[in-house]
Amino acid sequence: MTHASAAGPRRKKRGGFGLIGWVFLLPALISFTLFKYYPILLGVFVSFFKVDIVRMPGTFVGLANYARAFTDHFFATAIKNNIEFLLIGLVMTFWTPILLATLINEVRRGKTILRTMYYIPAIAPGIAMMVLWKFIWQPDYGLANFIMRTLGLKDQLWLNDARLVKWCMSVPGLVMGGGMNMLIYLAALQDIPEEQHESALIDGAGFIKRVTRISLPQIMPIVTTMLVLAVISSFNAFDNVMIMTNGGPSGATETIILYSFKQAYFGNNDYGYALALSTMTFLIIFALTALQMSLDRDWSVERMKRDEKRRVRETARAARIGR
Amino acid sequence: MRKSLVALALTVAMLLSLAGFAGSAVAEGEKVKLKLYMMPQDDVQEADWTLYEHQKNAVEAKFPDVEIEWTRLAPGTDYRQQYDTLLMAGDGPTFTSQFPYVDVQTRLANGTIAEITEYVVNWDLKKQGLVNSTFDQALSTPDGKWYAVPYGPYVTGITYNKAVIREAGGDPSVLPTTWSQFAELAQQYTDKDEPRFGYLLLGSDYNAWTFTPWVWSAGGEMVRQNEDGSWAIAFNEEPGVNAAMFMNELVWTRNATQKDILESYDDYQNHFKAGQAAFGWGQPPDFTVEALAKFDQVQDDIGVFPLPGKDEGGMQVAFAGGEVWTMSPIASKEQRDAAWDIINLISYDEDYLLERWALMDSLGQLDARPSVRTDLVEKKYSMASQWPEGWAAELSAAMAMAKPEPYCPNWNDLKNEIVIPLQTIYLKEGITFDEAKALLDECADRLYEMYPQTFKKP
Repeated sequence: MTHASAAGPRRKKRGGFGLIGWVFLLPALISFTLFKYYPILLGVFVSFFKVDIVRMPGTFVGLANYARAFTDHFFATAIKNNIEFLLIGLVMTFWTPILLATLINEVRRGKTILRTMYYIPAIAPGIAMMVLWKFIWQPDYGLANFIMRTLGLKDQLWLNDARLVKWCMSVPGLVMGGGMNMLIYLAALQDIPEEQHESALIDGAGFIKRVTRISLPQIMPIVTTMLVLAVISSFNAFDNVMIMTNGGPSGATETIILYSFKQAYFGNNDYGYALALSTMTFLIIFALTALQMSLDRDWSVERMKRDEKRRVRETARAARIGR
Repeated sequence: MRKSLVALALTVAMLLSLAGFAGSAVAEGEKVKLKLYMMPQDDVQEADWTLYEHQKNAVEAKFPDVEIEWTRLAPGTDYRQQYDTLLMAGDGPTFTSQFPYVDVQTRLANGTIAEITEYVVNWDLKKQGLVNSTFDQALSTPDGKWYAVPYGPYVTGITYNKAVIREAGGDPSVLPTTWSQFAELAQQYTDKDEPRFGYLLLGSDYNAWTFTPWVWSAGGEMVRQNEDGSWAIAFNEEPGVNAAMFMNELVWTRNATQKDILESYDDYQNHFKAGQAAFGWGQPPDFTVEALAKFDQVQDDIGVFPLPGKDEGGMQVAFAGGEVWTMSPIASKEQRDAAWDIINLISYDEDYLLERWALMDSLGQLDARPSVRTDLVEKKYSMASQWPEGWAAELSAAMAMAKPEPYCPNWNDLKNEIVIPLQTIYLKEGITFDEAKALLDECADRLYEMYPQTFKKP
């Protein structure tokens, strides 16, 4: 009896909580289903059609839209552009906030002022900032060439140069997104117990050693998440490209999503093909993210095993010394 | 089993949401309902609202049995995109004057505009030869079906700013008639420290629009119709390459243009309005008193002339384009009948047009579009009491040399496709004729491959 009555309320409590939980979740579930998953599924469905706007969805063409993508050299160029944007982003903007956060974390005085200074550009309206940067890079009377001339250097075409354009476009990203990312990393760094750093200092570890042995390994889950987000955002690049270059010059910044958008809305209104391209982008991002997370999981397991072995070795050594 | 049921439910939901976009039928005795996207945006001038109210009142007074919902497209988005999106949802304008005539062949093929043959072939004005017929081939098919009627033709050429030319030490009464004169003057008028450009180069997505008349002035064509009705691509022939190389010369050798080929058309126009260029592209009435006043510019200083010929005695040319009236493919018969009557009032009724032009003139808003009623073209221009001196004569001269924009199916696709090679040619310093030709040839080959139904090698 005692046993049964003890189990009973527990079950009841669990059940009641579940129902209330579902009630709270319902608005979000409905919104997500209606405004996220339904359009996604509808998009995938329509990608198998040659869309007829008047008689939706049009003619079923099976995988023809997907097959077409494999022979479309503009799509190949768009994928290449996306990959280049990602790599340039990693070089220019990904590691900088980590470095900045690490340095700010080391500062004893004025941390708040520095943090605020770096964060302020992140709250400026993104579109206004991009337009501003467009003026900075303007090749005839922009600030960038003014600086070049002042330094006695040759004018550059900047955004109008197919070789430079992606690098130029990533600079505003660093200024606008860097502050926000820095705050995230800083929060993660501040979660690391102070005792670990103090112990390392007592053991004689320098700054580099503390960063590489204590800070970075402990914020690695955040770094991984940020990397996943960087990949997703890079493959979904649209608004900044649309505003700054509209895919130019000569298609050098045409991203998959922009190309897909143009297929739908410029020229021949090829909605089915546009949706096939978007679906493929989704699959590419999904695959890259899964691969990245799986590699990270393997790496984490390896690291845990390594740490465990080291701990065992150190314990054994300590025991020997003690004896 | 449960997964199958969920999948089935989703599919049914999708199909239900996709199906059933059809025009609403009109019940007996009910008013015909139309939806018109003619309301101006909030940021337009007061005069535009006055003109809108005038039109709305005239239509509602003449057709009391028609119930009209006056609305507008969301600002800031491409009108084609909005039209198609609305149509997909079974909505959108019952009839519209949004589309340029060059869209008609593509839209009739994809079914996004209605066939209106019954109205056009029984149209008295047309039978009397009183309807502008410049674009007839573009608005119909060889088997005699009609899909649009003219709304507002326009003529564009090289616009010039007399004040800027004077400021640069030039004489605005001396206008270039050959490419070399044009290049020399553009170079002379350029001072990038101001900044002031001899010629504003449009290099962005619309670059084919301004490139086309340069090809014509070099003696070439963008496309040429084959005997079987298909189209051969011609922009990669010598005149086309010459035109692209001339733009490159203006950019690099003459240093007479801006090097920002990514500039949007709005920014481009603003540069001209701001007095940053001696020569540009457009037509004077694009530059209203209010728009110019923002930049301390005045209409008296703006003029237009045809593009210079490539060589002495070469063909000078202007560019003719324009929008047309089209009807929604989902409109019912009753809605189309009502739409046709309203189109006739707005664009072809003499009394209404004279009243409207008088109002436009009094507001300083009379546009330079030739009337689509051929018998009223002169009348309209004679009513322009507020145009600066010389505009009517310059516009008439440009009109006399105007050539209509090509209208083949997939013309917009061709324009989109040529953006990339043109941007490359314009901005590659020291590019050779052969390299430029190779880029245009490659583009032409791609178009032949992508649109084999439209483009065929001769």
